[in-house]
Amino acid sequence: MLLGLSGLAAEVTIGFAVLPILLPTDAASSPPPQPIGRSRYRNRLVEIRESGPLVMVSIDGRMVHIEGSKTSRYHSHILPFRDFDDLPVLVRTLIDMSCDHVVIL
Amino acid sequence: MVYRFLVTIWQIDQSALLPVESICVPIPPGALIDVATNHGVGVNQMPLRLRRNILNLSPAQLASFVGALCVVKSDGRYDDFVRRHVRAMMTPTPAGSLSNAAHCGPTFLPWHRAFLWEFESMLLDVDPTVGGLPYWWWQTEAKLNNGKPKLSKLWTEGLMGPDGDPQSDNRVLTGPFKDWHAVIYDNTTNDFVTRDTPGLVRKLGRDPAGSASTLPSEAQVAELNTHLVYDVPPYDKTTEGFRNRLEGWAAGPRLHNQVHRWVGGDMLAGTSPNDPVFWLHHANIDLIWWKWQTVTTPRRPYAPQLLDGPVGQRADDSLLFLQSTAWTPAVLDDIKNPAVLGYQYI
Repeated sequence: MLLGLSGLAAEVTIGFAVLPILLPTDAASSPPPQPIGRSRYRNRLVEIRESGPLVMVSIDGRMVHIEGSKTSRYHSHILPFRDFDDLPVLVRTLIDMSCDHVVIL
Repeated sequence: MVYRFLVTIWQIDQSALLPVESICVPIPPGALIDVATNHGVGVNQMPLRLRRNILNLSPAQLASFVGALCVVKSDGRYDDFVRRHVRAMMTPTPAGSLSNAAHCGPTFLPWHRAFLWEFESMLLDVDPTVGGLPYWWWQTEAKLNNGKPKLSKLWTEGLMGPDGDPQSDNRVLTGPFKDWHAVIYDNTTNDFVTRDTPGLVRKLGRDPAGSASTLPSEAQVAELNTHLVYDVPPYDKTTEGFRNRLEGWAAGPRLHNQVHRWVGGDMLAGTSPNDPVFWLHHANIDLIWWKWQTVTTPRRPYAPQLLDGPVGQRADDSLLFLQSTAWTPAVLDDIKNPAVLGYQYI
């Protein structure tokens, strides 16, 4: 079962820069993902969206695999041996791994 | 394709050949089964593979092992294993679940048993004197090194090479694998690329992405062995059975996951087989499972068996992304069965 980001703050802070939330321009246009957070970390643009129960994260415009478990922990098969309570921490960690040249995001 | 042959297993007892049992088993392609049947006598002539503690290998044994690794790395066969590990990890099993073909579910242990066996077969094909895949008995490393497992002899130039150099992007600059180029996953293409600079990435006990400051202890292994059932519903990473405890999700990070996270760097990703320590680590996981299996007679069973489990995770379900499609958890139950696996830990 996948859960959404109901508990996520109105702003998502990743690194030092916090950008305002991108509000949906058309509330009637449903399934499309709703942007709820946009920020930069290590010069990478991070956007977090939710669509129903799904969480979607893109880094520099490219989607990365994120899943939320029923225990509300977050996981990515790019970083497979660890779960995270905090989605922004997971995203920062993925970017750190990319900077270490362990994976290309 | 599933290969099935009737194989008679014989056991040498003193000077007599005594038939033990006749069973129908799948024979993985490439298995060196030599059964002489002219006189109704079946004799398996495949030597038993011996898996030793890496720290107890002689210099010659170590040279054989490292040499074979370098051969299969240079001809590309090593990297095929890295890629298959990632593909298994990216394949929800059953579809839509949070378990995948090789992790976060019951198949975690048998899948890696088969994966290691196929890898070991490849090394033995290159050099039979390798004898078997070594294992890394990591649960005593902290105790034996005054709480600093990175001081283990394992992390020296003569064995697996040292920690990564923080001044050089945490690359391992010396040791037998210093010139290796890892194959890494490219999320933008869902494909793999060869890292353009040499050297594995390691951050022993200091990778923030891993967040594990030490290795598992013997106490953790002892606690693990108090879990007497292999796995329980819902057969995922929330359960309290032996498999999930050993994989390291329940009350984690523990055991398997903790080791990946402590080594850090390349060992943190789905491409973790890039670091040859992966094989030593998983041989130890397999050894821990085998010891647990054989505490009782008959052996403690795999779960789920047939109809009660998720598709792809049951005892007779074929395991995916291995060289052979003949592997199932049931087939992989007995490591000493010479007609299927044929190895032991010493």
